[in-house]
Amino acid sequence: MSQTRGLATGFFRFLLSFYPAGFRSEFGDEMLAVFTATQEEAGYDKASGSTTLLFREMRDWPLSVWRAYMEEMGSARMKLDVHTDNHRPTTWEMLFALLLFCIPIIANLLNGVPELAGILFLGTVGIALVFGLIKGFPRWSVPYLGFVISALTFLTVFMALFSKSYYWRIYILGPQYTWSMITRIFNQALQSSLSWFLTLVGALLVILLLMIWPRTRTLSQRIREDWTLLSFLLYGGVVFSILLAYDEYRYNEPWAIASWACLAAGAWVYMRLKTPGQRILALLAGVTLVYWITVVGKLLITPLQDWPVSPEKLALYSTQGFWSTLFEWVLVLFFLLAPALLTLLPRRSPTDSTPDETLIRA
Amino acid sequence: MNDTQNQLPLREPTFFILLCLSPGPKHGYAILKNVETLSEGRMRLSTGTLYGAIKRLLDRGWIRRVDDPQPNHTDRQRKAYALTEGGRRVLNAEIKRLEKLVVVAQSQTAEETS
Repeated sequence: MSQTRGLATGFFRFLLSFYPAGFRSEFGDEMLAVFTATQEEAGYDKASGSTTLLFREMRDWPLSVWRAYMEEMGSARMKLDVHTDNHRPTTWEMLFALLLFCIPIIANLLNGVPELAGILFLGTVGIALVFGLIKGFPRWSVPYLGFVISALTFLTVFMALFSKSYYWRIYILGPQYTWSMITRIFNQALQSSLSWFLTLVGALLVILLLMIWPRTRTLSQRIREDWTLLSFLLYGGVVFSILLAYDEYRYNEPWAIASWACLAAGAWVYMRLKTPGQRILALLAGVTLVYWITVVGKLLITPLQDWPVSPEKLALYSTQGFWSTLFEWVLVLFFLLAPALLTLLPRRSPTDSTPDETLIRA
Repeated sequence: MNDTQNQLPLREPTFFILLCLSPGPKHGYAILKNVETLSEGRMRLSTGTLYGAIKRLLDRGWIRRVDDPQPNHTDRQRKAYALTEGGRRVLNAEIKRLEKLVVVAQSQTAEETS
């Protein structure tokens, strides 16, 4: 064997080492034998010949390695029943599902150390998302997706609506309307509607994006099987909405903690129930309790605030908070029920496959 | 029949691999060379692409492993691959699909020239 051929074979062995272990043990020896045979029988003793052969291997190598990994993970995942979410949740799954709703309670109790609360919150969400991604986003992990999507959309809408151009639009209506109650309630309603609408759109986009990766592809299938999975994803967004609702309020602790406890209770019941009907009722009940606690809580704590405004304006804020929160409650009920529309879409039988899927597989 | 139709169209490497296994079993290197010949040198598969496709075809039950029909005692035991009944059905269905395409294309171009 010439030195060039030896080097080429060595390099080919190196390329082979990047394939998944299962693929390598099944085909590694054969691939090496075919590569060596190609060199021998084609008389690729010359350096240029071996380089050409290696170049061909290297050209296709990234894609074949990637596909080998995707197929290995995909086939392992696809072997799992799409009803995999319907098993009774394990203690760990339940713990992780509830953690998103309980962490704000702990963060609220750690109010004196906001940095620690922030690290705890972000760390938990980050770890849960990574585990969720690795596991193909099982049921316990979808509220974390909802939380992140809602945080991004709520903040985007908030910044967009409170830009100068927004104020100009209000000024066009006339300065007398700028801070009137109706303008404020309209502002809040518009902000909430846009935020929740974009959260739903964002969730659908993320689900579509996750279809690229075989491991997470089953999320869309599972949502088709049980539409309340998408509602549960949006339910995670309520955590951020409640965080915003109590923002800048003093003495909010009992009300905020009670709100998140109700959210956690809703999630706990949801995880234990079996049918979509029961599950959505658990979420709707949780959300109803949360928003009514927030409505009552804000009514009671607004007069206690030491904001530098007149008592009349404080009363106005209180009324505005009441109607805005009530509006958001109705809005959230609507968006949690919206995924039910998925049941109207035609269902594919498990043996059906689209031409695209056939192309991908074959 | 419908199941077979659902598998179509095949990708070109898949089609050529199935086609070259049609006369009888072949080992990896023979498949590689045969695909190159059948495609008139247009398709030179790398071993990564070849074995990726072989794995998919094995998983789908279109080909199976058999004893090498031309054992080479100087090398390690080589594995050969043969078309299964399912694979042959898919290959025939793809050939018929391509034939229909050619007929449609020919009749269309004949109309244009007349």
